[in-house]
This record gives sequence, C-alpha cells and structure tokens, in this order.
Amino acid sequence: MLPLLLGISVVSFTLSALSPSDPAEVALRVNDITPTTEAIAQMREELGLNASLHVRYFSWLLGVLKGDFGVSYITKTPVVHEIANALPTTLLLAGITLGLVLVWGAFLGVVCALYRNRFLDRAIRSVIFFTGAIPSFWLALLFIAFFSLTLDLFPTAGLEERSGIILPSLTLFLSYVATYMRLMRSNMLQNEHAPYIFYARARGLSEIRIIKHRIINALHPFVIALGMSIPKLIAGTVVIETIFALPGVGRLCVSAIFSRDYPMIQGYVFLMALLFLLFNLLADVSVKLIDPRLRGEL
Amino acid sequence: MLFGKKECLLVCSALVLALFTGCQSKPKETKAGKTELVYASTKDIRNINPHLYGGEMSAQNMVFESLVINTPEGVKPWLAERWEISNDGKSYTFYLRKDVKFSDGSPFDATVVKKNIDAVIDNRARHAWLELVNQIEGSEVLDSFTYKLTLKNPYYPTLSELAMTRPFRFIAPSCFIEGATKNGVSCYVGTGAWILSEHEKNARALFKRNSSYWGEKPKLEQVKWRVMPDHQSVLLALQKGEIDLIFGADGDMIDLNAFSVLQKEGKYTTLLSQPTASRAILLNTKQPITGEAKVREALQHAINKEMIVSGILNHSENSANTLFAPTMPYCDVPLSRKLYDVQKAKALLDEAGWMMDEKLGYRSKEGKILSLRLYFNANNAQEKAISEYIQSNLKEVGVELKIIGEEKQTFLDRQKSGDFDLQYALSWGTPYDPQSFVSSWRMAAHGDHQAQLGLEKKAWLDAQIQAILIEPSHEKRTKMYAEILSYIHDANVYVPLSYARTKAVFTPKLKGVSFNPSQYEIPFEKMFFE
Repeated sequence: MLPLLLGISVVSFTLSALSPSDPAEVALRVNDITPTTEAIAQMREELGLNASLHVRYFSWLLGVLKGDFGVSYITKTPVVHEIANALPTTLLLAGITLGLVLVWGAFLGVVCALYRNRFLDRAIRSVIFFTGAIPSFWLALLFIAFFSLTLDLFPTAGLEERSGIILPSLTLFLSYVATYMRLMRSNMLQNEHAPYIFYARARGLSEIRIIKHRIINALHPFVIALGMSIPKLIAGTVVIETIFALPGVGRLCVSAIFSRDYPMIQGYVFLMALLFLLFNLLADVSVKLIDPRLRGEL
Repeated sequence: MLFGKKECLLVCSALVLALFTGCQSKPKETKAGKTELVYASTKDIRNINPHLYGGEMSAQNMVFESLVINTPEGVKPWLAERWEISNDGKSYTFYLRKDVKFSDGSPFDATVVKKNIDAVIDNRARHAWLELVNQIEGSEVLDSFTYKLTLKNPYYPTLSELAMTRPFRFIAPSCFIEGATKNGVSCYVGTGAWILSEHEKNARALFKRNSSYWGEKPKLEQVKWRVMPDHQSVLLALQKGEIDLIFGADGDMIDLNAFSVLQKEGKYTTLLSQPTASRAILLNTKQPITGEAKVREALQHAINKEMIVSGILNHSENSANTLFAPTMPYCDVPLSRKLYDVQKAKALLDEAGWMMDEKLGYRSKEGKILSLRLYFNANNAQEKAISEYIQSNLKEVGVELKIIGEEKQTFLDRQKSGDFDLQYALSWGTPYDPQSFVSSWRMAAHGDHQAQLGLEKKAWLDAQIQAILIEPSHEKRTKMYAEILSYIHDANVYVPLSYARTKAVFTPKLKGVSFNPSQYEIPFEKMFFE
C-alpha cells in the first residue's frame, strides 16, 4: 500500500506541473488580477515556484506527511480546512444515498428475484432501468420542478431546511440503485438452485427460512460491491451538488480544476486515492470476515 | 409465493410514501412587509478583503466605501465631502466627512485613509494593472479630516479609479494583520451600509443593515446571498419564490434565452441597464492571414451583427459599430460605419488575392486555403452560439472558420500567447472603459496587446496611451483618444458586435432596483419591498 501511495503522490503532484498554465499567473488570474510581469515574479516567489520540481515535490510530500496539503491559491486557506469544511455535506449526501441503496437495492432485488419474470419483476426493472438511464442532472431538474415547484414538498436547493437533502439523495439514489438491485436479484437467482437450498428443502425448512438463507448469501457480494462504491459516491457527487447548491467536495474539486487551484487539486486527488485504497482494503477484509471459507487466508 | 401482487404494490407504495413523511417544506412567507431580500448568485462571496481580488465585487461594495463615487453624471463626493486638485494636477486634497464611523464604532479619519492607501501601495506589484497605483508618489495626513495624495504625473483618471470597487476602499485598521492587508485581514469591518454578519462558505452569506450608517440607511433589514451554481436551479428557485432577485452581466447569472422567456412571461420584473461593456471579435494582426489589412476589412463586412443581436441576443443589446459605445467618455468619435455587405467582403478578399476555389468551397491563395481559428470560452453558451453564427457568415464569403471552445483558463492562456486568429473579447465595462481597458493594451498578458502587435504603429499606440493617461488638458485628451480610437477602428483590429448590458430579474414586489455605473456592483441599499 505504501509504494502505491507514494506513486499516487508523484502522479498527483507532477500532473499539475505538466499543465501548460503557469501556476503563478493562474494564481493571479483567479483573483482577477491582471498578470503583469512584476506581479507574476512576486507570485512565483511567494508560491515557492522558483525551486526545482523535485525540491517542491519533497517539500509538499513532507507537508502531506504532517497533514499539511498546502494553501489554496484562491481562498488562501489550508487545503485540509477547505476539504474538511466541504466533507460533512458530501458525507451526509453519500450516507443517505448509501442507506437508501442498501435498503431499497436489497429489497427490490429480493422482490424481483421472488417474482422472477412476472409482472412485478418486469415493472420494477423497467422503472429502475428508466430512472437509471436518465442523466442525473435532468432527473434532478425534473424532481425540483415536480416535488418542489408543483407539490411544494421540498426546497429547490440548499441545506437551510433539513428536508433539502432529500431530493439530492433521491436523485443520486436512483442513478445508483439499478446496479445494486440487479446485482441482488442475480445473486438471489444464482442461489435458487444451490445445493444448500436442496438440502434445506430436504430438511423440511419453511419457505420463509429458505428465503432468509438465500438473502443472507446474496447479500455478501452486494455489501462488498456497495462498500467499494463509497469513495465513488463521495468523489462523484459534483453534478448533484451543483444543481442542488450543496457546498460539498465535488463542487470544491471542480471549481479548483476550472480555476487551476493546484494545491487543492493535488490534495483532493491524493485524499480520494487514499479513500479508494482504504475502502478496497476494507472490502478485502470484510469479504474474509463475512465468508467463513476464506478466513483461513486472512 | 409469499405475497400477492396487490400486497406487493401496497408495500412498495408505503415505502415510497415513508420517504416523504415529515418533509413538508415551511409555509411560504408572505412578501408583504418583507424586509429580507434573497439574492441568488452562482458564486460565493469568498474573501472580501477590499485590498485584494479574491472576493465578489458586489459584496465588497456593500461593506466597504471609497472617498468618491462614480455616478452617471461623473465623480461625486462620498466619504470625502469635497476635494481640491492642485494647478499642476499632481496633488489631490480630500476633506473627509466628520460623521463617518466604522461598523465596529471606530472612527474614520485621515489617519485611517493613509493607513489604507499605504496598505495598497505596499502591495504595488499586485495592483500594477491599475495605473493610479503606479502614479502615487506620496500620501499625507494634513489634519484629522484632511488627507493629501500626491502623484508623479497629472494622472487624469485619478478620481474615477479611486472610486472603483477595489482596491481603494477603507477597512478598519483593527482588521489589518501586522499593519498590512496584503496577506489577508482578520475581519471585514467597513463603513458601508451593510455588515457581513454570517458567511457559510459556498452556501450563503448574510448582510445586515448597518444601524449606525452615516448615510441614508437601507430600507431592507438584511440581504441573504445564496450561492446557487446552476442557472436552471436559480430560475426554479425564483419561480418557487425562494429567491427575490437575479442580477448580473454577460450570462454569468442568467442567460439571454431565459431572460427573454421571463420577460415575455410577465410574471417577474425585468430590467436592462444602459450599455456597460463591449462585445467584440479580436482579429490578430500578428497572424499570417489576419495580418493582411484587406482580409480584416473583409471580415468586418462579412459578419452580420444585426442578426446576432436579433437572433442570439434577442434584442437585449444594441449592435455595435465602434469598439466603445459613443456614450462612454471620450468615445463619441465620428467613425465610419462598417455594414454587413457580403459582396463588398468578397470583393475585398478577391483584391487580397484570396480567390474562390469552387471545388473546395473555400478561398485559397498559392495553394493555401483561407482557414482561420476562432477561440471562445466553452463554458459560455452565448459565445458558442455567436461563434457558430460567425462560422456560417464566413463560409458564405468562402472563409473556413474553425471554432474552438476552450476551458476558461486555457482560453486566457491563449490570449497571453497570441496563438489565435480570432478571439472572442469583452471589454471591462464602465467605469474601467475606456481608460483602464485601453491602458491594458500595453501589457503583454492581454489578448488585445497580442492582437495589435502586427500593427505598423503599435509603438506609437502604446506611447500615445501612456501620454493620454497623464495629459492634464481635457481638450488634448479628447483629441488624443480620437486619434487612437480612429487608428484602431481603421486598422480593423476589432469586429464590434454589441454593447453588453447588465440584467436584473426580480419579484414584482421588490422596488428600487437600479444599476450602478459599474456592472460589478449591485445597489441593494436602494431596494425595498412594497
């Protein structure tokens, strides 16, 4: 994991160094300052850009080890503070979405498997396929128009009212649930003819208990896949955050990219890579903890 | 099966309903007697230190004030109740109002003015784009309420630049960090009509009325600045009554299509300011093809700006014949009209040796196709539509135009490098036009400078601009402006398209909405609910 982290740090640092824009000039422009030659020179000095690339990398890496990702060119505040400010909103959105996907994905998957190829299965799959196929920005606007304007159930955007989180979570949930619902359904169907089901039936267990066993077995890969998508949920909520005006990390990162706020981009890429690694590791560990057959390999 | 079809449908409906339980939004507040205005902006106010450039100018303008202000009738007194200019035009003595206090109760006097001006000068390199900063020689406190500014030259736009939203605004010295403001400030205490009372980054800011304000107090109690990055969400929020006002220029807050739809709907009040800035296409005189004077002239006649104004800008702007609107100071210069004339454009290209190749469908010369590149900011839908229309115009006269939308920073980088044939351009608007915008033509980082480099008299142009800025005589300045504007006009460096206007859309109960001369300021203090 350590070499991988080191590799990520090199990539996230050098990618911005490869960009054709001069960071000093960018730092001036993003603050609406006309970049005169003196101003650029002063800014290069201030940002320490006169040192060679490897010197800058090691000084950045040393800072990262101490939890210091540098200071944003735009806001002049530490990158860590910026991310820490934006993270709770994104975590709230991702957490609610995850909960909805977990409950509804599993529930609908089970219902579809139990009613395989019957009206209910087809109806649920069609609806979920349809909502999953609609681009999330479009779905978001439709939801605002219907639930917020027509029905007046929720605010259109922002988190000033607690209910403001519902429409964004619902939109995000609908774009994610299709995958997990189908995963649960196919796991359930795979289990239908598994030897342990024959054995359970032979033992005379009730149909409800057999279904419970099938659900538990089908949940393993479902939970692992869902766990792996947590960082993706955290990193990929930018469209929803923009439309619903939520001040989360997705918006933070995209505005950093548009304004070439390199320290922010570097910090974000590094932290997201770290999250992916961490959840990958957690998924590996949980697979082995959930499935007794794999415990010997732990 | 465990459940029948009906039971399943019932359970599903119950689960969907459960999602919405307890989610009824608050009852709508009636607008009658409302004292809070909710304004939606696509951007956060960010850092509103008035001596730096990181914050939204309209927010800076709410909290911090200047010695004088720009008005449609010219510069007027503000924190200074009057001023005197020495005969040589190099010294400005300001007599300050005695009833002004900062919102924390601390006094506003000549010492504070000096400290603030010194803090700006201390960061001269950052402000070098503004010529006044380079011209300041001395700053002196004559007595408690008299302050003297000394210049190196009789720089004529001094008062107008002192009135700009930044950097010459006043923040309480108690907010300075180690006696300076260039590395940030510890608080945002100004003398303005509003006090920033809350700020939740990227979400909202709350400005409360300054109860000890020296001037006429705003009728509104507070202004809530809501950050809504998506234009569509802003429109939906306006329709729901969650926001009261959208205000902005050049499609940054509201695009022209949406504006025109709202205007036709008649449910909201829409307002357009006087022309504030100029929209134009920059023709690069340094590039091989656009370097040819006849080609540039042909392009002037090939672009149908009337159609752009009617078809794309929905008549919300007037078509432009000259780079600056004649209503701008020093810009009422009699210049030739360059009308849309396809035949004339074709004839000019023929004269330049670019002959039509019927097989290719484009003109060519010495085996080379007449192919040009136009760059624009890809995030601006309006610029894209205009570029596409120009592409069709030029095809009509046998010019291949490749239109390339670029991400904003790449677009700006290209300005600096001069690697373009045509580029979309927008002037800085009042009160920066014409003096500050023209002054920037001398700087290499500007697309205008790059595009002018192929001009025969570029050195003269730069010298003339420098001379204008420090010419004390109004008559001479008028003559000199006429010379440079005529030169640029005749050299066809710009294809003027239209004069941009600031737009406001608001709920009909909101009254007193108006525009300041600067498109970057919003006069909230004049607004109230009926």
